Amino acid sequence: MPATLVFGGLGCGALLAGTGLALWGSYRPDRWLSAAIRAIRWLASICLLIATLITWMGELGLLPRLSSIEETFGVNGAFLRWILLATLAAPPGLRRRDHSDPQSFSQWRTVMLILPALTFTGAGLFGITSSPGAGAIATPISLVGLLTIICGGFGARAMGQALAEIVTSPAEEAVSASRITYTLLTLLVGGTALGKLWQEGIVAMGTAVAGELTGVWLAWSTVLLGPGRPQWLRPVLTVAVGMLLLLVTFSFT
Amino acid sequence: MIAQPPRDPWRAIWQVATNDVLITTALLGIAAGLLITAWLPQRPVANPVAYAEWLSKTQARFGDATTTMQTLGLFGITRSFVFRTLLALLGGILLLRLIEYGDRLRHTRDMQDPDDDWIVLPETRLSDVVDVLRRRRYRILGEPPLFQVDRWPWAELLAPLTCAGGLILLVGLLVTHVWGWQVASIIVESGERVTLSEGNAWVTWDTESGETTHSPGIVTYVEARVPGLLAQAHESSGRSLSLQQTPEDQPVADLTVAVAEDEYFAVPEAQLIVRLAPQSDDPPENETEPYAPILIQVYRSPSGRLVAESQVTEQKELSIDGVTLTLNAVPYARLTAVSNPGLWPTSIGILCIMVGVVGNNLWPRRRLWLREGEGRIEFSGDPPPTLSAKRTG
Repeated sequence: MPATLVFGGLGCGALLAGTGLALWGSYRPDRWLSAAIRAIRWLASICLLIATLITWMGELGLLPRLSSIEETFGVNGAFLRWILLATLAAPPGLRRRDHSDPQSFSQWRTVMLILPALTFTGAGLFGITSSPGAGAIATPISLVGLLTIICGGFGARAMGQALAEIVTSPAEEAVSASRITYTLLTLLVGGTALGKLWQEGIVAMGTAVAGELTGVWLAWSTVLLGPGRPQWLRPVLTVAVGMLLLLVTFSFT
Repeated sequence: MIAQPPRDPWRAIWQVATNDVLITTALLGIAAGLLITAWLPQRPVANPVAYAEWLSKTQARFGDATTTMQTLGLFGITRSFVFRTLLALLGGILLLRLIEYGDRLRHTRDMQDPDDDWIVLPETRLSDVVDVLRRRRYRILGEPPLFQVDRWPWAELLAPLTCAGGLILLVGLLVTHVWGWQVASIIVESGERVTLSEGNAWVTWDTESGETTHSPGIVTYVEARVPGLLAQAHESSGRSLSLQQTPEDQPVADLTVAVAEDEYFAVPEAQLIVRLAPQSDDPPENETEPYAPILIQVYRSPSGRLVAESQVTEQKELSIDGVTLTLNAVPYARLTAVSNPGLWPTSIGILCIMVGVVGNNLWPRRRLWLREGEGRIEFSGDPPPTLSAKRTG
């Protein structure tokens, strides 16, 4: 079994285990449950990161043995994109919530936080296993494409946290993930627009950068600028714009 | 009955114009327009050839829905009245917000009265809290027992910087739209100087360096390399035959043709018509590769019978009934030239937006008050994360 699939599968399994533990917590609350789920999410992130690095090194030709593996299992650029998104969406935040009281643990909040990473990992693994050998295309990712995927990963985090905010109470970490995504998008859109402006003299409308990414950036601006009332409006907007960002990520890359 | 103060209509208009709902609506409308321009092919203007090509591709893609979509204006979003109105509205909103931020910057220079509830900070000394905040570069106003802590003026400047950047960007785009021009698909032979129809500008291109040279005030870039041919025709006796691309052209002995699309020329004295067609839409991957192959078909005139067919990459000789046709590859490039007087305002606007947005997210505006009384510390307002953590213990 190629190492990519092993680590991708481990990451998927860890995320499933975290989801299962979260749902089990609704029946048997335990003060160590939230710490265990955090540890599992970090473990999943490390496995996915290793899978990403191995796939990327294979695409760059640094792992020549991977070429036969690609032919057998169809590991390709699309898998890399899914796994990279999952790697960015999987880790828990650095700020710990206090769960000394087991009753304060919310299983649905935890499930919503894990859901984007689990979806991306499953899609990547399903894409390989459903068409073995058919997808052996090492499509190189441009720098702008890579930065777009990174924005998409953070956007997925913001989506997960917005979904958690919809099912439970608002949290400051939801706003911070949204702001990180917005900051990265601003740097990406502004940087590529400046580059095109000075190279080609004009920022042409209708291209991927000017049209799609700028449109997503403007839409994300409304998430942060929009009115704070009603309370459900901001997380719903975040989820909608997050999905738009992911759509643009896949259409662009 | 208490008399109600008269409503100020200007204040009401100001509040409507500067509230978050209006700017959100404008931004969403512009975002939707930009996404549509990226996903639907927009109708080219002032170029009949490009329009014909666009129309055929669009009809092939959307079929009967093309007419409806065209009526709805989906193929000309950026030129539509609604889109331009949204941009103008956004410009107006940004201007009003800029004025509002400037006024707020002036008013928040001095100490204000707290307007939120007071919350107790457990197990904390006021002097310790003030020291921590001072080390984190907060401004501290007031004297014991009441302090105001904020990030004036730098954090207060970031939001107006973003608004100013947006305004400057819109001005730059307007200047570009009104006074700028763009000429695309300029076919240039290596070393040849082409004069453009706009503003007496000229461009040249060198195949060895791959660089363009141009008149001042414009920006040029190479869209793609284009295959071309230098054609000559000779009889078996060695006499040179003349070539013509159109009946109106002067006959020439050496004819250079850029083959970006199907091209034809005639050898009238030999009654031959030659068709040249590019075989690939993809440009060569690097500059050392030979140019994309060109299909050559030679027809007898006036019967139209195909008498010879071949491909040429670098050099080819075809012999047809005593006539030798010599074809040598000649490098061409397809260039775009742009004159953008709004280049600097657009760049400055984009930079200001980037600095304002990133700075506002890394160093957000914050104001809080601290007071000491009855042996405890209380705060009111928007605390930094360190104080929030102390509050939750």
